[in-house]
Amino acid sequence: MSLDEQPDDDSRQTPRAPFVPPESWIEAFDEQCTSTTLKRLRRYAAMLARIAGRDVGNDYAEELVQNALTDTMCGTLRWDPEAEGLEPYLITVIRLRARRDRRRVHHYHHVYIDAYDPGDPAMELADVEAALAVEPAALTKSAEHEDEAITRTMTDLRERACGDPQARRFLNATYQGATTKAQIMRLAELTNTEYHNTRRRLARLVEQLTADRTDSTKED
Amino acid sequence: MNRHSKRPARDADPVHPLETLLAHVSADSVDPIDDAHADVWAREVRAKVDGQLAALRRQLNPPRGVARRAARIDDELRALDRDGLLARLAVLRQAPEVRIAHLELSGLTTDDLRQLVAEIETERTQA
Repeated sequence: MSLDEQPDDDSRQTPRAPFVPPESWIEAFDEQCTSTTLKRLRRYAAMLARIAGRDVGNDYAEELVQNALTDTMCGTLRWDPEAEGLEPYLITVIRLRARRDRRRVHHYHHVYIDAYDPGDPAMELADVEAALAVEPAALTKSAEHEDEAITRTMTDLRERACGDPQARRFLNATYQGATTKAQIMRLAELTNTEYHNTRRRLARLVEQLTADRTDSTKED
Repeated sequence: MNRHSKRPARDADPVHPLETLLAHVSADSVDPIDDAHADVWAREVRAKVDGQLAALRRQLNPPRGVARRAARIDDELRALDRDGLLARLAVLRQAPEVRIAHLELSGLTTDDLRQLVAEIETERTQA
């Protein structure tokens, strides 16, 4: 199970002991949960949602961050300050939860169950249940659909960055498996200043791409 | 902290290049209006975090006054006179974890001594 979250079923059957982290854990959380970190996590969550074509506003991103924080503080998520910083840990939590949500959105149809009228013979509960049912193969298909969407987004970004050799090298580095700043700088052959400037240009490209997609969705 | 040493199962869900890219570009704000809203939101979240961290700290450090008020003086202790209480205190003081702030025990009344012995014995029982 990803993220070491406690399975829902277990938590229903047996009451869990209260999470009592040591003072050093509390101090580390207190110190690392800064306003800068919170704002960055919010931006990351919003970008993940928008890049997948979901015009969900900032509420979704804020909820994602808030839930990740709460679940860490109540022990549902197990953060070890000695192994990793709070920000990279929460980046991973948000990445995996956003991915899970994207897949759910794709393989579950949107059915207005709150509008169900038991007095309406034309609206059988069985119809609602049938609409919500998921074929086993749909789970695989949703993952494939997501991969396609992400690959399409990266292709769009590479096209938009065609006149910017440093941005292209930055993108190529992520394809080669680089995840940290140091790895990207090494693979893309960027200095520290070039890394920061390229990152800002790419941020603007991502914003433009997101805005263009939102506009085209509205036109459709 | 072995109990908390598990990490997210990344190998099962490898990071996609786009997710890596967004993790890097999200470091900078490109929208000043949204950034102003984010400032307000971050302050509100931090206030909630402060409350939750305070609750975690209270779990670690329960108020000591509660334990002191709970110290019960049993009949055996009540029956001891001043010399008996001083002798019992002398035995308790041999334990390395027992530290008494009072340098001059002669300044304490017999009731104070009895309360002191009761508190030390209660804390040692709870430990």
